[in-house]
Amino acid sequence: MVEEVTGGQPRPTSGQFFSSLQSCPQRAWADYHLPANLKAKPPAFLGALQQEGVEHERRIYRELFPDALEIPAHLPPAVRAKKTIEAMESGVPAILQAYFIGEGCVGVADVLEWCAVAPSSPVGHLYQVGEVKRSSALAMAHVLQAAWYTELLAEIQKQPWPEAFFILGDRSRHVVRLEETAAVYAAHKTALELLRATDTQPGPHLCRACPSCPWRGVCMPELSASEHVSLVPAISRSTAARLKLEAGITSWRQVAAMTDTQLHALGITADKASSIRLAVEQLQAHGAVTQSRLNRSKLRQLATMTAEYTKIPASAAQEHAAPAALWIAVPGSDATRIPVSADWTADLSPIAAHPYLAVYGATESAATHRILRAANARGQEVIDLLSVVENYIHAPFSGLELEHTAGFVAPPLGPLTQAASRLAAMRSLIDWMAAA
Amino acid sequence: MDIADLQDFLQRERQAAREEASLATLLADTALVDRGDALLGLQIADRGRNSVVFRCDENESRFRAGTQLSMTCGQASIRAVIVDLADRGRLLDVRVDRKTDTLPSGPWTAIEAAIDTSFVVSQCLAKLQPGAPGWSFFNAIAGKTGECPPSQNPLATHVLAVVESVVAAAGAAIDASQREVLEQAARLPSLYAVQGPPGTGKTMLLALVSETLVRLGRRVLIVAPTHQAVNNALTAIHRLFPETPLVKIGDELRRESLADSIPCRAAKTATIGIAAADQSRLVVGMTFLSALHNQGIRASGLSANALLIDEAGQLPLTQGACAGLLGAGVNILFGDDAQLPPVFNGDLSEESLAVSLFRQVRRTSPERITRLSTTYRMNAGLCEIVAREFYSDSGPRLQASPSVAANRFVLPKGESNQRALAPATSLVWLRTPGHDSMQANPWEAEAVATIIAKCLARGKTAKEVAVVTPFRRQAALIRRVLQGLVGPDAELPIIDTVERVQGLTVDLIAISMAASDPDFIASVARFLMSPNRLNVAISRARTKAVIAASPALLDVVPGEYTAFLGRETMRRVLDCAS
Repeated sequence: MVEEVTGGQPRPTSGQFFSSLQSCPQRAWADYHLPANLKAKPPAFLGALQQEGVEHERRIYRELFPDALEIPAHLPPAVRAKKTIEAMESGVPAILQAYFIGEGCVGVADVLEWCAVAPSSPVGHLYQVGEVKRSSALAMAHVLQAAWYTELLAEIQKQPWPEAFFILGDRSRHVVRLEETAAVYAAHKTALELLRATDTQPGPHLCRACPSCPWRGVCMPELSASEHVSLVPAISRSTAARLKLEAGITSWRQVAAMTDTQLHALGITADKASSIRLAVEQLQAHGAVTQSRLNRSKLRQLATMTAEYTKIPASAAQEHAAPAALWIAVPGSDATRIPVSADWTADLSPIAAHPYLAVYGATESAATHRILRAANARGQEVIDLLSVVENYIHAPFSGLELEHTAGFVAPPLGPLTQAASRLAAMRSLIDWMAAA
Repeated sequence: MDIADLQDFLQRERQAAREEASLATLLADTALVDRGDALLGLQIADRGRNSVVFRCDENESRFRAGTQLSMTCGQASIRAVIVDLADRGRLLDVRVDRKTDTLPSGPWTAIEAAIDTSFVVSQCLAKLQPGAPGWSFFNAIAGKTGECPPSQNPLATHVLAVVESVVAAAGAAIDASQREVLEQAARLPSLYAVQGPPGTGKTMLLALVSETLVRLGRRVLIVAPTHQAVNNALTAIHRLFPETPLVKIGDELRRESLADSIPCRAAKTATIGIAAADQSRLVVGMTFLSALHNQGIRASGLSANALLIDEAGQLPLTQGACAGLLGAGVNILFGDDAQLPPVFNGDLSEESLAVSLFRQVRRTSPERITRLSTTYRMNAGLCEIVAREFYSDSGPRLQASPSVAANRFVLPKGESNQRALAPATSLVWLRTPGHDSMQANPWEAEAVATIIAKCLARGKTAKEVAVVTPFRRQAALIRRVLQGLVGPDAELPIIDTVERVQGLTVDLIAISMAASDPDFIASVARFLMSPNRLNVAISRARTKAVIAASPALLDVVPGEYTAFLGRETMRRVLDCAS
């Protein structure tokens, strides 16, 4: 939940901002300064992941901290902060959803674990910060977030605890000595303070994190309208910064006008210059800008498939009933509707001669695999177009769902809840990629 | 850890590999060439009944002997396996699945064919049940049998005599940690592991252990994740104990470095020609997967009761957990989990089961591991850095043998004016300028090639120096620049990725990190700054390591915490460099 920007005041720094900054300075700036109503809805997969994260956290709380005291999230911030301090004073073994608040800063630690009695501390006890994460790997953002909570905690107990711990998705416990990351933490904190203090945005730069960034609705149109240099995949942030600083170049059209000698003078190697040229050609042709060259003929041969559900499942992982039917379009033919039985069997003879079946998204991919298994169909590969887009296409999509990617190529002919429209949208996306 | 966890991990790994392969099918052939997964424009240069020699202009692929290929030329398509590569990879000798006289001469496209071994492993995991063979080994590595420190009791006199006789027969002088391993092995442990840091004589020791077990009446089976490792182990045994009968179970095509006198056979025919009296002493070698395939080997009279697993630091846990199915009462692992780990699909590589068998033993039973503590390769300067950064966790400190500690890098034809080649320095950092390079860095290519060219000009041979880089593209660039400096006919040293140089020993290793673009560095940081890879790269050298690296490597904040720790390791290593 993002607090609204009020009275021109930027939002307070929270632990999440460290993660934003790691992903993109523009995102962190937007976190401070932009109104919440400009935030895009999280993509379905991210929403599902967040929900799974919450459920995982609740499970860990129950299993590992059964005697903990939880600070209710529905209370006003000041009350939550007060109750956190009271819990610390009482010396409970663990505090869940501990809340810290200060001038321009806020934090919610998943767990505060009791460490020691400390008569010199105003609260009489020392705690350490713990974070529960669903991922199997510890991210730097997790560590920086915990360092932030540890600093806020130190304000209360007047003694910093040198470590933080993390419970990961496999329930393993990892302890990190915060001294190891102190320099990085200090640099991030300073950078955040500067971003909070300025109205001047760093400016967007198209990167892999963009399609799932909450501020994509703000940045993507800006990137497109300004023909930003980052629409060229080989131009990284540092290269873009140097192009701007040394040659005043901010758009790919300006790059297109440069000779190889001029690019070389800016430190751009011949290898990179040729990648840039290729991407510029693709941009000039309004085609897909690809990270790698694609096999056009194979793309054109893809059969497209989509499922027709009576009730659309929320996620791929969720157990759900078989779809009512599969809609299949093979190149050069009209779409065919194939009924699917409750036991997931279907007559797949119309696609027997097509080795590559394109679907869109993890839910459809999982359903298609299951139907192929039920039909004992061998020798067919399911290709998830969403993965193709995510891995191979560098374009300012406003998201990775079909409505965003195919909608970027051409407005869909009908609502994408209808299978026939979905097939048509997938086809237009494939044709666009094949033309690159 | 239980069997269901391993099965689940195996299936997810298989699914991820399939998805990756599906995605790759949409790449243009040129993109596959860029990734090292394909070769284009191959022409038939010679053809036999079921074999063909293909020629190409340039080979920058990952292909090696044994790689399975899917090859096409117009409408023609064949399956092939590479038997040999010659002329810097430009001549590919392949065995094909049909007669060759009607095959068009070219141009052929060769794409590496994916091999899915998960079915075999899954079936083996399914066999692991309470009371069944392999269950106690699985429980031991799962940490369910409690601590089991190696015995400190003195060896029985006759056993000690066997150990001494083996050492004497080999004519080997062994150090204290090597002796400890031999004596522990002679106690016939059900699970024991030997960590062999670079240059500590692990392979020689494996040969001594094997011979000790043979002389103690054990039938020894040697397995490893790769043919190369099996070949090296068997060849080492043959060199030290030429009278010991040896056989490799496997395709003759994968003979590679195996000594000529060691036969390669199918399991069913393994004992043909071996005198009955020798069969009980027969040492059998095969790849680990082959061993899992051939569990019926027990019926063929090759049943082993002592299993030696070499390169256990590269054996995925999902496979290694099945080692008990091979039915040996004695199980000894050789490896080093501080060097190259097994390769897992990117999304799964941070999971707790994405480890080697060796690493799992370290987690659950560190008391069962002995670390070899003397390197006979690195001089004191290099050893100090390697010991501190990669082997400081526990156990005896790695030290350079007095026989090599004082070694310095010397150019036979006199010193060069190149500061990086000064004899006094063991580790040198060439600070790479610029912030734009990704997988290829012309500045580093020039700098590294110049250093190597000077070494060659001043009397070093191509076998005494080598170059390591994380990226094949950079390796190709360095090769081109160096060839230009030393002339088209000059022999080039090995210039390759870390994976290809494990086992190599040279006087000087040059490491080109290539990447200097911060965004790119961040995106590949876990791979680029892996301490294991850095360890392997530096420790190839006897006397000098030259690292060309951008300071940007040390400024980037990677997304993953483990990559950050790798960055900090690299910082400390570079801080030691002159």
